[in-house]
Amino acid sequence: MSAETTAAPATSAAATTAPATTAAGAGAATPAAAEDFLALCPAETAPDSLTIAIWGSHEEAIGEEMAGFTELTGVDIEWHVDGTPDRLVKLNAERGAPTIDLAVLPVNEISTLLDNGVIDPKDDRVPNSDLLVDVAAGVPGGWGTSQIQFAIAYNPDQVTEAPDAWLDLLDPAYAGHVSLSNVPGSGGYAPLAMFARESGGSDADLVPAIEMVGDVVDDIVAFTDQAQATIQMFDTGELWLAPAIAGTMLQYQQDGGNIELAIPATGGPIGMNVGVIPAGNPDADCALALLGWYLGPEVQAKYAETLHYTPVNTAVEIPADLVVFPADQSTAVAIDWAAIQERSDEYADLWARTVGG
Amino acid sequence: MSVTTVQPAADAHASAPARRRLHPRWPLMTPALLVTAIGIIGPFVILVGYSVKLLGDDVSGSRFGFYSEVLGDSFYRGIFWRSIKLSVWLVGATLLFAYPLAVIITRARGWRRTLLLYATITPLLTNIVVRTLGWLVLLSDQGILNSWLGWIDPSLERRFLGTEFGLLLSLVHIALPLMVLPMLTTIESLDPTHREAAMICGAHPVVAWWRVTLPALAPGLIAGCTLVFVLGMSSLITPAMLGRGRMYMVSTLLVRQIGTLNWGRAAAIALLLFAVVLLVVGAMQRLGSSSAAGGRAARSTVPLGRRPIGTLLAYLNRLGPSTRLVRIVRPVFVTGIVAYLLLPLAVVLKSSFDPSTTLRAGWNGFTLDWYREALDPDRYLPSALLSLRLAVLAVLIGLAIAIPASIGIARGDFPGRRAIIAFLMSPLLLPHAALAVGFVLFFLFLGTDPSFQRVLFAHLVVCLPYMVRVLVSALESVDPSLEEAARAAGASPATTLRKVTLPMIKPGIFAAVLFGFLTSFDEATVGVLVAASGTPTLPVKIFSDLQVQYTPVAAAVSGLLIVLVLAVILPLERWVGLMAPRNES
Repeated sequence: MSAETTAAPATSAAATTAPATTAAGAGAATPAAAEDFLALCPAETAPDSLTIAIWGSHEEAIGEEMAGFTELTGVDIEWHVDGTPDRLVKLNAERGAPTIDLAVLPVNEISTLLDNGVIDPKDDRVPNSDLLVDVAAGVPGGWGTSQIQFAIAYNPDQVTEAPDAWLDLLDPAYAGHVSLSNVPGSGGYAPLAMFARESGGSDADLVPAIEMVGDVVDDIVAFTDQAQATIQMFDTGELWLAPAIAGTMLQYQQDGGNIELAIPATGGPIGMNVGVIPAGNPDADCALALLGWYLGPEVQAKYAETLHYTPVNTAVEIPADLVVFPADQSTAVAIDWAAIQERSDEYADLWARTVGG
Repeated sequence: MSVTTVQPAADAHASAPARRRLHPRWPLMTPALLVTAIGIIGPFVILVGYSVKLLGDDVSGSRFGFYSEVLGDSFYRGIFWRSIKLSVWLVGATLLFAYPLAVIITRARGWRRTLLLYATITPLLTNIVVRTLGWLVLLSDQGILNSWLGWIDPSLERRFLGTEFGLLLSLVHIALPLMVLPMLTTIESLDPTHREAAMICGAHPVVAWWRVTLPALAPGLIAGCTLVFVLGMSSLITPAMLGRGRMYMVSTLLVRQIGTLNWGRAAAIALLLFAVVLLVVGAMQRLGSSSAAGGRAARSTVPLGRRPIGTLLAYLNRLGPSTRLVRIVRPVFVTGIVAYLLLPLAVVLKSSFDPSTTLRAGWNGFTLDWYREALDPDRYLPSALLSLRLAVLAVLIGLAIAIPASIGIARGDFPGRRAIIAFLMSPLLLPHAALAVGFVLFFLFLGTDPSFQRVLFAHLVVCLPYMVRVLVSALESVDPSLEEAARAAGASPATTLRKVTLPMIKPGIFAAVLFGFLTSFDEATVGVLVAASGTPTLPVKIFSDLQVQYTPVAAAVSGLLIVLVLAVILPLERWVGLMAPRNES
């Protein structure tokens, strides 16, 4: 199963400069009022409960803040925890008769779901949606709920100079001490896209990048879907470099892990989680209200504090001593996820033959 | 005196009884057949539909296009071959250690027997991801195993992760209880006087074992080999983690196809895998039935000297038994196997008391924080209670169904008997990932809403094959003439069942309960898709959390489960004598 991964949305073209992802503007915007939520989800028509499908541990991270929605509307929140592939399978299998009211997914998966009619088109009635940063508001089929950034984690004892290019991951000097994330999954696609860009290519064709990995496949110590496996290898000293979600590795660093984080000169790809409403949901309006609560400042601030996600809500003030990624917007790089997703079957097949054959 | 012929096992060994020819006892088997039919036929039909493009969005091209894609591609064929090869090696390696371990357990008494038994089952008590992480610590380049090897001789250090040897090492660890437990009942049922008689007549112990004991062991051996082969073919998480993501197995291909929504190709892969496993398991079943009935031995009246193996056995007959060698090897073997079984779990348990948030080999302090979190009523406890409830109900209902079905199968020799066994085993033979997708689509077709009952039914479907397989081998290993004698003495069928049959197969029931409980308790693949919203089951919760970040709470949960199971089984076993030797019951 792929690790929790997110990605920047494709807007009109692959962006090579930092998108507008500023998420600090205390006092400049007013969060949605209670009436806005109750207008969508009045007591007389509200269901007993709504179900959010999301990754594990998110319930513990934001459960208290989400409980405020229950206090306001009387609607209980049920949490359905699973991995991205399981969530995609369930949404597709239940197409038209969903048991999930709100699903949170990596942005690269959204276009396919929208094209296949699995999710509803975007609805502007979502409370707090007017406060979102452009990149979060611009996702077809959903609303960005959090931002992350990919970086290169490295062991400073073994890698004495911080990597300044993503292609350093394929440097023979580090043979046997590098891991990569698996494909499909935006954790795997992000470094491939950067390999392509740094080689003169683009996000539209990752085949050369996969072939570059194939040239050094025996030098890669592991291809992993799970953050904890990467952390384990850093901990045993086996791993010197790996691409990873910066916030996740920051937690490991704060827990005493001997790693540093580097964002190469070409930038760090931006990922994003997106909230979507499955098509055919009889409680769609209440689900929109729930999504609006999820985009609210309390939940967004809690994500920043616990998982180091950059809030998408401009009403959230990030404490000065709190590190979130992207911390420096000039390092943020938007990836053309729609272009990658169009050829995901081809890439997944080529990757399997390159790595697992 | 050398022995040149040996009596056929069927004549000499009452523990491999000739089966009476009976009509099928349909009332006994119907509940199990019904559960399996509902649980497997619907999902199976849906998978077939997707694989031949009758269902799904991709309906272009040849009807059997997905099959020709998979079979015509050397990459896919190579992955299939790798999985089959690994599974065969797994069966062989496991058998090498499981059989002597099972024999030693049956001959042990008192606390030694209890210790060996629990050491054998403890691999089943740990969550698969947590257990595999423990193996990562043991087998990594700077891991515990290499540190020991380096202490002996630095040239012995080597890479284990990402190699087939390292993968086998960890898979044998979980396969051992699957092989040992079914064999225990069979070994307990052996009449030692037959082997002693052969040795008194001059047969070398190896000859006596080959000609007399082995055919009688067939039911338990075949049951164990079947479970282990299926484990090897369906293994997903262990190859992914310990194979470092480069050792693709069939299940890896399958899950990736499912995750990318290529359900047609996934269904074709799943059904091809099902066919391979069915063929192999069917062949093992046929081999086991022949041996248990003494058919092969009955046909074999050829003197030993006419075959190469006979020459070897005749040579052995002239040698003396190597009891001194056995006395030296046995304690070394027992120490080694117990250490092997417990070491990964020791890593996990140490982690549950270690304040560090990664699995580390060294000592970093002591804390009970992870156990407090594990017992937090708002965190893992609701999931644990849900999983416990599901597992207990699945086992109780499963036993109520599996025992009569197993009696109907084991005490019959009707046409289609093997087909019924294969049918009841079919949920085991179909990859759980494919079964999960089939379940979701099938339940949607039926129009059922997510509910506890739906999840319980799914758990029952995946547990029942284990329970039936173990109980059938247990029943085949005991002499039915005791039941007949009880009936002849006037006992009713219920009294015979209660006072004769069930006590004779107590170890089999114990193994069935254990397998059923742990299969249900550790089940995540099917549950995550068919579950109702709200509280997830414990393995779904743990697996989902571990995808985001490692938390030692998962190790603490495993520790609590080990304590819970031992706390329940230990007094039960000592009181009821579930695993006591037959002559101590």
